[in-house]
Amino acid sequence: MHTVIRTIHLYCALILATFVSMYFATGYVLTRPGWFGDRDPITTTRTEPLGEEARRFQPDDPAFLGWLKNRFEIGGRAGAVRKQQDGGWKVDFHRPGYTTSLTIPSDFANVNITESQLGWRKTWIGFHRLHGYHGGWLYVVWAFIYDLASLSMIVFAITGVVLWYQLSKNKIPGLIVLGIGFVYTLSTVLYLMYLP
Amino acid sequence: MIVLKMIDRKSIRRGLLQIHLYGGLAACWYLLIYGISSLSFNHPWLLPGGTEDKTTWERPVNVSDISDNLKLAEATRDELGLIGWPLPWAMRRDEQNVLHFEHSRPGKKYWIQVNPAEKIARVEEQSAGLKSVVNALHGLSEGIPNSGYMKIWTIYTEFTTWFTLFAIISGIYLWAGRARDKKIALWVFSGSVAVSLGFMGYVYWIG
Repeated sequence: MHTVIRTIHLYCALILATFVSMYFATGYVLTRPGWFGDRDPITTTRTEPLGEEARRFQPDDPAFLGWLKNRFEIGGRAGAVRKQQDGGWKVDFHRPGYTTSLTIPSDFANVNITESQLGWRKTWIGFHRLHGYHGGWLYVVWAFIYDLASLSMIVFAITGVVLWYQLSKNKIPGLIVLGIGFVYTLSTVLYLMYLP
Repeated sequence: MIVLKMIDRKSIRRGLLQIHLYGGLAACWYLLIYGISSLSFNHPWLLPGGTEDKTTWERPVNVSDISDNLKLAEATRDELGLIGWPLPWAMRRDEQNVLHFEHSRPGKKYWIQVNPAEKIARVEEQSAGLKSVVNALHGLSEGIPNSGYMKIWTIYTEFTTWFTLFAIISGIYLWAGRARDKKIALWVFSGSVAVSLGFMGYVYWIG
């Protein structure tokens, strides 16, 4: 039993070490905006004709968004399509390190494409915040790995406690540490749930 | 000399194992919070949110008629003994100079009206549910305004972040010392590093 638990603990760590390390490193950068500088985005803009083919789509049709991606070689996941006050449409595509904004006038004559290459800090934050099962196979696979990394935290915690229990002869110090952590974490959750 | 080196290496391994074990026990509850909150970000239905029920109460507040909406909201928060943040994008003054604003903290939402002339605040509060609490505890490093108690959680965040990175490295070192595990595990580790970094690179450059 000890060998099984130890193997689970070990192989979880080996398989997910890179992703887990990435999340901790990028999370650190995310929570300390004042510590790490960043450059302004590098922006390029181009205007392209849409052509007759575009008129067969509705602006918020996922097929239209896919068509735009392929036609103009845009990377990333589409956000919500937003109607503008002048009757036109706007949609942003995001991936870690890059944002591409598309503005389409109401007559569907052309599309204005603004591509922004973000600095390293926003790129790291982009990796950290990338989640959700949508946006194509690439992002579905990423979301799956994200779930595995999340589950690994729970697996590490539980298997680690079991391993300690099996390895330790004198369990009192460990039980004290475990008990303090449990009481503190539970009291923090209850404090925030029920504080007036 | 060789015996001394073996003893040293054994002491180092034993020391590392003790830190790995006891640090892990200390961090395990935060790791559970990390794991559950991360799953919640990817699956918003996982944890219960708040209910629709609201409670209404009012209290005298000793605030001056400050023209700056945010400063008045913060003064009102302090007088009411609340923790959290008034939301700058959800503030307005009406014709009677009453400030209406939303106030937020993990676990609760508030809609507050404060009349500086009458020195009264009317508060509607609503539970934001377990989801808002657990998600907010994920990596909370700056604390919550007016809450000294939550400063402790910021220390716990810092400890768990650094300890987890240490635990990955020390865990691999401790495992590497046991020859019979090495070969297969080394292939698994090398493969996972290559695939992980390659995948991240693909997302970045191709997207």
